[in-house]
Amino acid sequence: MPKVIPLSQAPIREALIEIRVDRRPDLAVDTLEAAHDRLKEQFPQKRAMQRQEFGVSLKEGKGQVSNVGASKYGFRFDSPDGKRIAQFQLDVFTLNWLAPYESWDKLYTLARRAWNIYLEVAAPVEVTQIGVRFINSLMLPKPVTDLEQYLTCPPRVPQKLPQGVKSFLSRVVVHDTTLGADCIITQAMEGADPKLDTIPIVLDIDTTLRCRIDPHDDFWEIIGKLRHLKNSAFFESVTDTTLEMYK
Amino acid sequence: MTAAVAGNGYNNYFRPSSSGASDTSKRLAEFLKSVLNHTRSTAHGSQWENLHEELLGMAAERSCVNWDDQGAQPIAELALEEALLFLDNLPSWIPLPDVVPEPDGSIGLEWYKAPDKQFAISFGGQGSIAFAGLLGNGRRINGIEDFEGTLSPYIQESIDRVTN
Repeated sequence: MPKVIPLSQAPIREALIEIRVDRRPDLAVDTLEAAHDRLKEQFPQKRAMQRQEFGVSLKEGKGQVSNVGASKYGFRFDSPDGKRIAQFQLDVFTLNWLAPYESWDKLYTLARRAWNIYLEVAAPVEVTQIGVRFINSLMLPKPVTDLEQYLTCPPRVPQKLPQGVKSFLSRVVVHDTTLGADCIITQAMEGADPKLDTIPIVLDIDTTLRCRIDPHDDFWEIIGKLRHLKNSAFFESVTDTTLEMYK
Repeated sequence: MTAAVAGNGYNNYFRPSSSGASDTSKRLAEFLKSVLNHTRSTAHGSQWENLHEELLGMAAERSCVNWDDQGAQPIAELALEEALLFLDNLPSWIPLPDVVPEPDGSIGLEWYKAPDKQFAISFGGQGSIAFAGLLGNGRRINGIEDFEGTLSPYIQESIDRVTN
């Protein structure tokens, strides 16, 4: 087990729990709106989630996509400060907690409560995928002369090439055979603003388990296990120097 | 030591991201998309863009009833959306398919190698795909499965058997 230590200033930009389902065939998107009555105390803001519909027209013999309107595919319910979001889609439930993150217990409790409402309103047939995702933004103080000072597995450049990296994207998918879950570890540096004293590195840990579960079963222990997998991935991806920055 | 292992199921590299809501997640998704588009253009050259144009043009030309003079239905917008989403998430090592409009308004993607090795997927815009194929050695398959935007292991294996 990796060292997992409390970080009083964890670099979490967003934490989310997501549950994908097989919807019941007669579920209409407007049915999901009814959930707001049960959620509005904590999530008073309501917005339809819309997908842009497009038509295709011919212009000079070539097909062109043009926007002709929008169709709803779900509703999102936001807390007053917009930092906690419950997304109720036809075949996906998500509870997002944006920075500042408070605790796993609070995220878990809120997600579970919102899920129970989704379960009643949407009445899905089956749970097909469960996910826990934490997106971190590490603000590394300039100058960063060696990424290995902060990341245990940064991208590497062949020794005889210039060692200065302007941007990178690394995405690996590992499979935990014990849990049967995938863990996607994404490290990204889009570019550093020369006016700032820090270089932002995104460390995105996304754990998912495909499954076939009765939605009324208690599968939340699985979510706890995905959280542990996520923790392992995070703490094994950063060095002690990085952890010191966020204690 | 890092090993490369064969996929055990869905290829999550190309899986649509979960429903992130933060600016960080949106920027990351755009960054990833641009890298994946570059990978596809590297793997397929201009064929990737040509296929997109062909699909859009095909749908445009068949956007009215009776486009085949035999009572065909217009190509459904949701079918086009599904087919485009499928192509956007097609791994770069999968050969690009041929596009076939269907008289019921669906869009078909087909892979053909030989008379006894061919595979077709049909997108009707209903959130599921119908498929059928001849995989060689007299093996036939057909079925319907939910469409979640990416290749299921079964579909990928079927395409591999036809194209290899």
